[in-house]
Amino acid sequence: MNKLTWIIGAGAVAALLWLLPEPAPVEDNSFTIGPINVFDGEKVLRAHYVSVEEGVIVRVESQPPKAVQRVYPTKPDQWIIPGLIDSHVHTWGDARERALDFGVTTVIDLFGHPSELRRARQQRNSVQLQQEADMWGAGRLVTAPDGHGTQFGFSPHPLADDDSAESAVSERLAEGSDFIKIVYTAEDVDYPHRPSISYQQLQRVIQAAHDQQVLAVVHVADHLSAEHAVTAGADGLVHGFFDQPISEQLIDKMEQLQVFIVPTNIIYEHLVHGEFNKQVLLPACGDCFNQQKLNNLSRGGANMASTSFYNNLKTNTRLLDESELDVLVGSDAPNPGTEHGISLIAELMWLEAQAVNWQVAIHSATALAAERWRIKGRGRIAVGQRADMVLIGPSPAQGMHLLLDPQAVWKNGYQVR
Amino acid sequence: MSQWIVEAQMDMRALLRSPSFYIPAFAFPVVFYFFFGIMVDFSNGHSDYLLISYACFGIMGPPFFHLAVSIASERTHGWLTLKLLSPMQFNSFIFAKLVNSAAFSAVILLLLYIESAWLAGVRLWFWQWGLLTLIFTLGTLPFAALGMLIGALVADRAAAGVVNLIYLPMALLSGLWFPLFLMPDWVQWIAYGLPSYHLVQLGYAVIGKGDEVSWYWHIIYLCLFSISMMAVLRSLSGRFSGASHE
Repeated sequence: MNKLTWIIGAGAVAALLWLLPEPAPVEDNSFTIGPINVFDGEKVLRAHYVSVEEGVIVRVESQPPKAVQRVYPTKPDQWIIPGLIDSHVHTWGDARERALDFGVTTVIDLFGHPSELRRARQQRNSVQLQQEADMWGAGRLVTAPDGHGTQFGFSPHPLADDDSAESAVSERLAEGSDFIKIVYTAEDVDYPHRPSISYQQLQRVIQAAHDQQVLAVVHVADHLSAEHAVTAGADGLVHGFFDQPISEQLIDKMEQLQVFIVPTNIIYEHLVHGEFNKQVLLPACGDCFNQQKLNNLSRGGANMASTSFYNNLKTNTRLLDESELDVLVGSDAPNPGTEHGISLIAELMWLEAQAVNWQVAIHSATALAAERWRIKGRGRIAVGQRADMVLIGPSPAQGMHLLLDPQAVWKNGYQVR
Repeated sequence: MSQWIVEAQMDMRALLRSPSFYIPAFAFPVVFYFFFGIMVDFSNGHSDYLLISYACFGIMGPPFFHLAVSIASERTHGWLTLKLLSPMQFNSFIFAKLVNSAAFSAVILLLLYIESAWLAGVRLWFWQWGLLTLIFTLGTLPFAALGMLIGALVADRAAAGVVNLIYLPMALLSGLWFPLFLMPDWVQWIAYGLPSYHLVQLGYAVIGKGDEVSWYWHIIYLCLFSISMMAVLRSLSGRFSGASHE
């Protein structure tokens, strides 16, 4: 062990580090794409040019830009749409990375550990290269002792009494929550459920959230609870329901109070029917997804199999589409029968199967979602917006299944897929 | 200076003659990473994060065991007293152990890097590989300081057991084996007080997955921890110079 040995050792370490593999290089985040058909989140723009500077869209015009910039080559039948927003997920592990595979560039986490919230906030303020979807999140739930959510183990700090409503909200906001998610089940519902906070507590928590200028959204799973949540002042319902068709009165009231809904149809379909993944999604997917995960999607399901529940689910999709309500698209991944990314496309395919227009469906998963979750700079292809975009071909009018195999995905202007 | 190098060389020679020291030190992190970072589906797509976790776990071992066990042994058997009576500088004795612990830790890092790149497809930029190596090599210092403290306080036969009693729970409570969010809140509060938590957060920051605390706070904590350990050791300096304490 002389000096030379030490020097050789240090040199060998440096050489080995040099030989270790590096990520594939990516282009920078300034470019122009066009002429290309654009669905900007609200309307179709034929043969436009979209210019991106350092991750932000700076120009959307029908004429090519005069300045010389890197041009992304396109074909006549290609389309770009805004990066998709999944309005109901629970993220951990590589969830946000997997979401990107299917063009989901933003996720709304409706119950997760608060440790992720601050990192997500820093990340979404940056236009650096990232291999994950952006996240806005609710952090811990507001729920009853032993209520829904407490079974997952990471201490949701249940709401013990009426007086703790304000502190529950403040505590969550201090932890970095972007909005407050409350779990509520009305006392008189037909099927048994875990303990719930009372209607008075629901009102107080919603009021406390509004006092702090944040959205209060409610987890419900039945019509009566939905009525209560809307009456109590909720900004949104983060599940639909299948116990009965949605009543005209509830629709009217939600329209009047501008309450949005995230029906999470796919997870309910898995629960009451369990065939959509097997019969529609997987055949369309082919080898678009990790085979083991695909098997998870097709396994099990129909734990509450019922023709009437299934019919109610389809009826509610139709009634919501016919209404003036803001209906957002959310997968509730990774609950049984769902996976991150792909299940948002499944949700869009479900809407398509129920005859919802493709522009309405994609609007719900882009511009409308950004607007209702109060997210700035996402959900549209317009000047000043973050360059989160998905390239598909041919036209999305051909079917939502095209989103299962996006030809390119840009996050912060970087082509990440 | 040559005395310091000779001491380091002698110490390294002694270590290389002790496969019972270096084989477990190399094998544990490599095998654990293979199971939890590569084979287990939960980690799918998270291999870079777990590489950092197990790298931190791996580099804690050599300074802990080498400093604690060898100091306890040499102190208990009177070798340390003999050395202190000789013209040898005491600092060269410590320096040798620090350098060799860091060298063993660097080997563990390289083994983990190769494993993660080859079997788990981890891809990092050259500056990230380099910075991780620098952080985790220098990051052996707080554990070496703690190891020295253990070595100064316990008998040689007890040293390995005491190290295990500290090393393994420290790794667990810092979230090196399982994510902290899967554990109760009180565990997270404990984690904030552990050097391994702060060191691994520095590693996570290199791959863009650190916590919300700025990196320099973690460095400040690690420096303060090491300095306080050294201060305690200084007050116990009499224990290095005799077997009579046992």
